[in-house]
Amino acid sequence: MKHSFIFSSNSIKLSWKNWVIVAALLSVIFCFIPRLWSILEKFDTPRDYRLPYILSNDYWLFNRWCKRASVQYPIFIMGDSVIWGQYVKREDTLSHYLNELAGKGISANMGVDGIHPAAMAGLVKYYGKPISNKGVILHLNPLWMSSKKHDLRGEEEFRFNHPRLVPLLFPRLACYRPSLTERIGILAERSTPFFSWINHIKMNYFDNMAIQNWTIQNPYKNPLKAITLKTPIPENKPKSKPITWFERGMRRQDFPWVKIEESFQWSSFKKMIKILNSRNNKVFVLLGPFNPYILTEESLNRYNIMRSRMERWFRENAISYYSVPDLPSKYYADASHTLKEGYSKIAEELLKNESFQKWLESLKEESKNER
Amino acid sequence: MLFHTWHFLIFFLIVYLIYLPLRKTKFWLHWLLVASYFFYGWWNPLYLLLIVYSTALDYFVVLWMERSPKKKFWLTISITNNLLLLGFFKYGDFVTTNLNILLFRLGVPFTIPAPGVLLPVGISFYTFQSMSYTIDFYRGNIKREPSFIRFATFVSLFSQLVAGPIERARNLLPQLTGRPKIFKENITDGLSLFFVGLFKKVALADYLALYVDKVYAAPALFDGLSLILATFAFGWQIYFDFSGYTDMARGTARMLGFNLMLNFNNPYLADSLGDFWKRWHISLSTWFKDYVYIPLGGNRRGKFNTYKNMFLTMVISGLWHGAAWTFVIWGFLHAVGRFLTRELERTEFYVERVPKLVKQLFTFTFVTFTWIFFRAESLGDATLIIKRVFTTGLKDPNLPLLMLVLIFSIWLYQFLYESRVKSFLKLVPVRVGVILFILLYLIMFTTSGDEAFIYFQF
Repeated sequence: MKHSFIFSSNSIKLSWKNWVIVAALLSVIFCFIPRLWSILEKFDTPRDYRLPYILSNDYWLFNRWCKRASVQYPIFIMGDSVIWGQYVKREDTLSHYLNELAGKGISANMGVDGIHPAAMAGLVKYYGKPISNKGVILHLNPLWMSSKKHDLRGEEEFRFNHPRLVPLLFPRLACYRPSLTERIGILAERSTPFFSWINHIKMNYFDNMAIQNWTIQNPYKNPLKAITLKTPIPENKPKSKPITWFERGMRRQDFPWVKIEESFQWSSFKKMIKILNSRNNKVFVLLGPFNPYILTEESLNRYNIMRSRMERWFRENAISYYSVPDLPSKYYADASHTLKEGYSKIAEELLKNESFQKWLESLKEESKNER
Repeated sequence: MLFHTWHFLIFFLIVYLIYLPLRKTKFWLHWLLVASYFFYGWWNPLYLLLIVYSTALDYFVVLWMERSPKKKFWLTISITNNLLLLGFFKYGDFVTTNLNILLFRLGVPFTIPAPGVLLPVGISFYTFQSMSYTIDFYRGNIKREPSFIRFATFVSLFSQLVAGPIERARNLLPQLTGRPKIFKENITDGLSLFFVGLFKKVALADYLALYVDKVYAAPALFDGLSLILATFAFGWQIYFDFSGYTDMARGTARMLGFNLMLNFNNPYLADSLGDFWKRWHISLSTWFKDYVYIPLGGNRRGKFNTYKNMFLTMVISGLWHGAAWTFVIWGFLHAVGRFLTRELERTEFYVERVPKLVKQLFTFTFVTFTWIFFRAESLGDATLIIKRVFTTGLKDPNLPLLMLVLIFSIWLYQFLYESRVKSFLKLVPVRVGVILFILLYLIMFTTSGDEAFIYFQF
């Protein structure tokens, strides 16, 4: 029996050929819009540039900064807000002091606020592809291994930084339970720059909101006018008040610390080194700084054991590293961040460090060979 | 499992990929039934007991009706059973609450315990669909369906199970007989319908809900203009929500090789209330016409009886939508409106002199006004909203301009569709452009919320 079919109350009916046209146009848009955007959108990266703090979750911009920095700098300094410079201006960061002492711009500040090793491994894997044939100073902040919770091995679900970068399925993280919709969104974002570009648009122009929610907050603003085609230059001031940890009223902590053999953050860090090495980068690990004065005696003992095990692993695997020695108490702003004096001191000591010098030499050699 | 979620997409892909080769074998119907029951059981596996019971009873009622001279008796069993199911699950709390209020006012020291059961999703839809089969058989309009599997698939087909369209046995059952034929058009049409529906739901209805929910959650905090605009927005929200769902239902069914009936036909272009009901939730209004209005006598016994029947049908239709006085009043208002305008529409002045656009705006305004009762949380809220509309000022409503732009763009599209420039909308660049816009808008601007469809609650 033949059944008549009233299509709809509109004319939006496409044939096979029409759908092919739609698919082709969508593919073109997917491929070229993010690239075109990189040309159209103003992106100033002045000296000692660091990503705007409010755009810490904008991985498309991170990728763009990677591409830009890979042309300008031979060395990338990667890490969390310690590298970014939470308590200092951008001319007081570690990358700045290294550049100053070297007499030229050798290193780029690739610090991202709140990025723990598990997330940084994801960041490098999915958005850090331009980092290849470079020298990478990889900062390891031991704070991420100070407890099971920081190590993302807690059983209870909780909100942590950069969830869109951690593994979605393996290993299974009990503390991270995204919905199926979220998982698919994350997968799409990791695999297609178009989707991370959409996030960039939301973060950069719409206060990190979907445009619909943004219009509820700004009912009479034209969303198109909000797109100014400019990436904000980060304000050149410390994100947090630059005072010492004791002026801040911080008390001694009894961090339990985790065993590195069981640590998820540590295994993620090792994975990240592997990824960077596979892209022909030369990795140098910067272990610390960490404020020993903030720890109770027992906690400090446990921390030292953990640190020595990490150092042993670096030695055993022929990975150049520098374990930041204890700085004067007044140089620390909290458990892991230092004030500008701290960065200056670390840069100074680092340049004197034999292992670092050798690593620099090997970079120069490689660079010569390439030429 | 909502149509606009990834769960459904994955479910549909699996079902479809197995269905395509299976449709050439005798097991395709079994597969469709399993898929439909899985889809329904996803909400709550216990619901399956209810749908299987309802299906089995109506199947056997018709079997007994065929074999017995007491046809009316078996029909009464079917109707009573379906109405009792609906009554218990949907109206149980409403009836007991109202009875308890009455008992309290009469000073009777007794409280009837409320059933307190959860309303099974889609019960209003599949019971009506199943009932139409028994009534049509009783009337001799259709033959008995010998296969239980086929009948069960007719009642539970996942595309239209939870919110319609309420299909008639004479339309859908024959399509389930014989192996389904799937041509290229089934897939292309299905995709077009699905994406348009998805856009209506996710990009429009859920967006409008952001404003409507805020205002209707606390109407006392908002002034007249905000309340008017929220009601206006709700009128479009419910249209986009329900017609979006229907489009997706029709789209998936089309891909499976079935043609479901048109349920919405640009209702806000209606130039009278009668016309509105021919365009809005067509499967329900024709159901009420065929199984309530006409059996009551329709327009056969004079003006008074015609209006009485119309009135009863509208009030019952209101009550079908929800167990609350606000829905009864909504139906009542439509009945009154229909009563008043039917006479007006017959005057020469109205027919000849009043421009169509004015009639359309008049109808739209009336329908929008009645939505206040449909949307308000309570009767108190509804009266408060009407009072505030007329007594408070016109403070800045903070309605996003983008919402208005989207609503008026769609309205304009519909006007064009029903005008002489319709052929312009059929041009390939226009159609391709619209779909491209829809897809990009969905990808770029919508959130990944899993807002349920409004009509699921009915």
